[in-house]
Amino acid sequence: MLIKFTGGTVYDPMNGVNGEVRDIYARDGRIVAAPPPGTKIDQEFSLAGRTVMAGAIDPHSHIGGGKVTIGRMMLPEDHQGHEVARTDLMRSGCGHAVPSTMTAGYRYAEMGYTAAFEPAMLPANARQAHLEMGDTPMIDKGAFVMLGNDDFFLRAVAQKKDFSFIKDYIAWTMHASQALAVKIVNPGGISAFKFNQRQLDLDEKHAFYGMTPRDIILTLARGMKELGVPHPIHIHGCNLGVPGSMHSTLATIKGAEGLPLHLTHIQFHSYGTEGDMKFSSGAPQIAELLNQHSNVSIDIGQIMFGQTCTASGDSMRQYGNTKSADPKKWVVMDIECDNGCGVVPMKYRDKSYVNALQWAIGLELFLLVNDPWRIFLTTDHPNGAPFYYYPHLIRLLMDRTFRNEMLEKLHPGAQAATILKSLTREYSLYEIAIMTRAGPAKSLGLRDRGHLGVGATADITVYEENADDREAMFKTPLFVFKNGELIVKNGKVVKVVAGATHVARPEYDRAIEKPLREYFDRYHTVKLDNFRLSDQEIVDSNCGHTGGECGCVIVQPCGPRTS
Amino acid sequence: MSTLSFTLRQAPTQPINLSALIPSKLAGLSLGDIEALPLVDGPNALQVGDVFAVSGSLGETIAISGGSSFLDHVGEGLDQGTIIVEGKVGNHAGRGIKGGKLEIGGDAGAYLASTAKGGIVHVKGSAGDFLGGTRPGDRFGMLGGTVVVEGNVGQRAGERMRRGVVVARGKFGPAAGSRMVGGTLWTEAGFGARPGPLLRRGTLIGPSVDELLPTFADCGRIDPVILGILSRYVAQTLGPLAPKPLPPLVRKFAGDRATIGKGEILLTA
Repeated sequence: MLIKFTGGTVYDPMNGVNGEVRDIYARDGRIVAAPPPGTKIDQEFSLAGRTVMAGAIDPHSHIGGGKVTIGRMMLPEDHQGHEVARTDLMRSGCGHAVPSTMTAGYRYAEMGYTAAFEPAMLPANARQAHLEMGDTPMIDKGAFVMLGNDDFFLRAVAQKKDFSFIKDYIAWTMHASQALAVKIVNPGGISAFKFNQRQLDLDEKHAFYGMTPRDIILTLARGMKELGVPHPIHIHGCNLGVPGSMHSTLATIKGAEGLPLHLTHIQFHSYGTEGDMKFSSGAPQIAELLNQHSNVSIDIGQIMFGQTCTASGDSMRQYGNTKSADPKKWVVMDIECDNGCGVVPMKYRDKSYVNALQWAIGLELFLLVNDPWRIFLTTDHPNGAPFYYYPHLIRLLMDRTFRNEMLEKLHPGAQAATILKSLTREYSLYEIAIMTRAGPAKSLGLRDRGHLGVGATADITVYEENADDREAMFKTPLFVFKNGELIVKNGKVVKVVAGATHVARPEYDRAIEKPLREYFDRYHTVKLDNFRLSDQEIVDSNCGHTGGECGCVIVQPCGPRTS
Repeated sequence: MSTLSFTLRQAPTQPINLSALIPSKLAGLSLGDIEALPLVDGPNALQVGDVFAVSGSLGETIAISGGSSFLDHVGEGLDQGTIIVEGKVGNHAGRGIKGGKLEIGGDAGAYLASTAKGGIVHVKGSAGDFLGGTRPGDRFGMLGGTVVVEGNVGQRAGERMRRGVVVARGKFGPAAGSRMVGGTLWTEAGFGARPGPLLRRGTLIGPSVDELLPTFADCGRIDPVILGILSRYVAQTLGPLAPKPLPPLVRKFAGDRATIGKGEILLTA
């Protein structure tokens, strides 16, 4: 079936298209070149005056895995008043900060998103994470597997094993847990927490294994690069949320030795200790350094005011945050002796100096980092705010007057402590398209997503142009297409589809299974063969598709990074 | 005084949420608007007009004729005015009530006046479990206000209650005042088995207890000043609904010593 999208204003940064009026054709779920004149067009959408972008991609959103389920169980008050009734198309659900899986999928699609990636999947929890993501309809998904705090890895590093051994282990874990990339959370810190360390700075030694977080980051960064996994090591650094955390962030960037890194929710790692409150913004220094280091990309983890629930693998830092829990209850736990988990509900208040400054620091970073290809728009859902605050965030970035109006409502001390008011930058639609589509797709190695060139998947979002209120514009897209099918019209789901799961499978030597099998037999509760997750556990059909036409697995190619 | 009347068209067959029907939420709406208000969401959606015949004009009083245990959330969040229900109601009646008066002619279901902050709830029949209690996710149960129940009360009344007074002419069910943090439960007929598990502070007053927890300590007969103050306070607040004044001497049991144990059970007989 040939579909024509006629006359829309297209923003497609991957192909350098900046607001040009173009026709786009899609056949059988893919974007194709203009057919010869006289070809029968089966369906035409007239999009004159409307904004056309690829479907948006969220590279960091906690939508699966044990911790969101803990959040859901712990917060019945998060369900009450946020019930969503069943319709003929959609299933019922509920939730504000941690919505139920189905509801999360619908909400993403209704906002023009066609992919979201779970950034903290524990290998031991991979099955649960994939089952939850399998229940998240509408969008493509994938997961980053957590390494760097598990004893097998730490032992290997401490025993100075051959680097290929570590590389094989990384690749084996990615295969076994069906991951797209690797994330490291508080390098070594989660393990150190179990040895009674309550903080671990970049160059501080792990009490038992003796290596520093810097060693762990460099090992994994090098491993990812040599394995050819497209997404660089996804780092949740040391000292999350600690005043003064900017220094370890700066040191991490400087110490990268040119290796590609992705620093996630960097807002939480950009705090200084100046001023009367001993809490200040480190955004200018970090942005300056980022502008010089093209090997480092970031996402922000912007906070928004209101009730949310923080969920992280960082049990060390989440334990420190428990005193700020609101409502006053929390879960910090160990998972299978290999990793941690901390779920702490949080209410960000605009009248609080710290929260207001956190908000400003996130925006400062957005506005001070020059290259939109290396900065992605996230709220670290649900840690900074639920993901459906993105349209509001986009308006804050695109509309300086609106941003300053919001700033004036905040704690006066925070207003004085931020340089936000002096920042005149306003994001353009092209830059937003980079930050929410092309950038994440390129970074994650999704070659046929995030752009509208020939051969790309026909994931297309059409917005009604509204220069006065970008929030309204991005909140209710006119049309959203997934694989060429109309799934959302006027911000309402009209067809429910299943998204694909993206994975990356770097080459490795299977001999690693011998020591691993011995380790599993000795220490794990699960046998190695049961630990591994097969394709059949993710997909619900033997469809034989490879292009993501239904909820199937798409293997993204690995290879040397191009940039 | 003008009254807005809702008359049940037929007995409901599914739970109906009546939290929209309080004077402050209906202010400024025409009868047509009120009939179009949604009561049930989802595939079996119902509007006010489907369930009730609406008549009269909105003033201080809302009258609901008929009754059913499917009528949930009656008078939820009431802040002013009066709601009079002819028959029985379902769960969550008077939840979060802040002011005004809710009168229920029949029985009330579970979670009556949970998280109430003020106002008066008067039930002519009996009340269900968790009166003035917490729903999952609530921090505290009742936080203020007064509840009078003419009949008996179910289990775990006053769970995590923090402030306010509950008066029952009948008996409280088992485990009344569980995990209570403050406030008063007062019965004229007595408590069921094991009142006050993990009672932190708060006062349970009644003529008798079926069975005491072993973690309550007998403190003998005492004559605290508060007895007179409390008797005068309820007489003032409730007028003719008030219970008989307390005797000058009561027998005190202090507990629950499984926790901080600053609560008390006062036996009047």
